[in-house]
Amino acid sequence: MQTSVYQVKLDNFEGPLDLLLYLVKQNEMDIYNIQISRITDQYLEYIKGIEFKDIEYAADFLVMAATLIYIKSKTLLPMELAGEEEVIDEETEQLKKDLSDRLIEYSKYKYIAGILENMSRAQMSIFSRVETEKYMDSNYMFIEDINIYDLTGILQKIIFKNRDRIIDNKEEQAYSILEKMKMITKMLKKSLCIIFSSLSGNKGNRKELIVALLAILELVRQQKIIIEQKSIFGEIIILTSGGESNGQ
Amino acid sequence: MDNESYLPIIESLIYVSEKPITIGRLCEILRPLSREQIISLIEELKINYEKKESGLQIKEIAEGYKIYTKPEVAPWIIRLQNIEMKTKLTIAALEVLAIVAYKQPITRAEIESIRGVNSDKILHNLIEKKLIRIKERRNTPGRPLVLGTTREFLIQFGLKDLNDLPPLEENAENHLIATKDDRLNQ
Repeated sequence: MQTSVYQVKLDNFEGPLDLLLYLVKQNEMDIYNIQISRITDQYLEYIKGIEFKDIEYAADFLVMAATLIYIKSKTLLPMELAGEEEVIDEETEQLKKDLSDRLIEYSKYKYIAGILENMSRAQMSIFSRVETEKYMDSNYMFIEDINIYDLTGILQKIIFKNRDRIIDNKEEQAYSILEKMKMITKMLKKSLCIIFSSLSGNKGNRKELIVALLAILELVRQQKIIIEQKSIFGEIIILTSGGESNGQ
Repeated sequence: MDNESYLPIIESLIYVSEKPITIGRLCEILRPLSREQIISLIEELKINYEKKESGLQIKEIAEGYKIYTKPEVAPWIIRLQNIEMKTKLTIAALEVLAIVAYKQPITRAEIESIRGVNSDKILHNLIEKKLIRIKERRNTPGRPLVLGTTREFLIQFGLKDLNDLPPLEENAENHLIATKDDRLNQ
């Protein structure tokens, strides 16, 4: 093994499969019959010195290292002997085949990636009347092409852009039942009765309405108020429960 | 009106359309001309453009037709618009794009298992660039999101449709040799 081989930076590789593919080619190995032992040693040599800035990236390389070492260890174990003939360990063969299959599958797309690059370069050298401006705008999209996931994506962007404002609104809308109860008792000291619909605020805010209802129910339970409703869905009228308002 | 007199009309329709105009749309506009008639007229137009000393060409792209400049005039157009060539995609991004293009609809996990490496950032980037998009959720456990390429992908790569993609080479030896690998010399 030549040391010069390992001067190649790992950054040049798109991942463990890319590195393996490179090693297979460098060693002029048959991709269908990879020499695991040799490849494993070289692979480990490569990832030995690298700095793992990105944990995810490093993890992917280490997973492959573990797989390789496992297969290598399998191949080093003495073969079982059945009579005179050596029995090929089926599991090891399967592992090797899986690795070859993955490498071949990956190399197909790597090859296509190169073709795509050329195609996009060719397309970049021709221009149409409007596209130069329009397609530069990353927000441009064909309207008829939009689906629900595009819309949620756009909504997420809008929410992210306006996140400060949205949080502010939430704080404004925080109501407490206790405060509402205090407010109602205070109002009842001033006037004889309150109409429920007046408690929800002018905006017809649903949350405020719910809090108001809970506050009233609590006050009824504490027997501080009496409520009356003349008809179904009719107006609810809130009255002081006689004695208490005078007594306390 | 004989068929020939439709040539300037079709030419104009393709010219004014912002996005590639589809054959279906042309059929609607040019009724009662048949689909076959329109296609042959477009072919005629294409030949005319090739023949005459024109800087333009009619290109079949993203399931439609569009007028583009010819590649040989590109240096002047770049000078005119003072534009920078669009940022090139990284090899990693092209790999992901290739996988999505051929295997769509595909999940994030499936892409990662082919590449053997986490691809989240790249996917996010490609979605931002409108080259891929979430198509739907798959009806399997976890209901994963599946991804596919966009019309914008077809346009940026000069493809008529997805069938226009180069065939996937089945023989691994061939592309192993074909894929240039000069990293050793770097």
